[in-house]
Amino acid sequence: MKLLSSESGNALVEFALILPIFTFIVLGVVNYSLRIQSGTQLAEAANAGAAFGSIPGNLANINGMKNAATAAAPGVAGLTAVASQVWTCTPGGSAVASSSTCSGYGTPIQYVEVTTSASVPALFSWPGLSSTLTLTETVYFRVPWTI
Amino acid sequence: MSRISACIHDEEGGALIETAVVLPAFLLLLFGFFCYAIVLQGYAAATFASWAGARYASVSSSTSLSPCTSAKVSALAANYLYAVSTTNETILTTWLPANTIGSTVNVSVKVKYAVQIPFFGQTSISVGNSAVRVIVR
Repeated sequence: MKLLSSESGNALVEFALILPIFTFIVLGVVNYSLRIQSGTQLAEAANAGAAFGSIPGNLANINGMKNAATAAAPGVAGLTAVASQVWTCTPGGSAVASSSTCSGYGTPIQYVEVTTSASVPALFSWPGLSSTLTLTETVYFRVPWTI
Repeated sequence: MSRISACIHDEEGGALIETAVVLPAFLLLLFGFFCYAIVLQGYAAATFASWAGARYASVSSSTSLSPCTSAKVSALAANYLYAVSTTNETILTTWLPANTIGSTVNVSVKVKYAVQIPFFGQTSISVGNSAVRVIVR
């Protein structure tokens, strides 16, 4: 009876109960942090690709944009870059055909768009949970003028 | 006998002793935070410095109106670093294959920080980052 009502060692039992939950939370935080890092690197790569494309004369150089994006993120494994030209009638508006005539602007505003994506594996994985996550980042740059 | 017994079971001053036991560990943790914060800030600064250097180099090839050199890239990147002395900064600019349009430029920035954590003496931590850009102008 005395053993049953004894409360010494209570903290140890509570600690043992919390430890697995706490461990999972910490590992999840580590996984998530690494993915945020990969996302930042992808955004940086897309930025570099779009910056390349917005330089006068590079507007139509789709492969150049892709290469610039891929070269800018050597730390991301399996990075794929997609580049395209976009035309709009208002800044940031919906896409129109390059040949269209815009009221007020005349010729459409030119943009380059670079999208980078990569399948990022988790550092810690558990059975039943998908360990890879596909991250995607898109950057638009307006082309100031063309030559 | 009763006086000794009273002294043994006396719990006054218990908090003081516990504080004395925990204080070194607490200070270790606290100064660890300070050191790590400085190093993290240095890492962020090195990242931005390499970014700025690579950006500058990517628009200043040898055929541009104002060609850049390794020294010019280093000078620009060093503006963003907060090392105690410039001997603790390493800025490397490499062009692949050459400083011409279409090549890539890699700017690598490393900063060494001396950190002093209680009971661990003085050590140093090196942090750094690099940026790669295609030369466009």
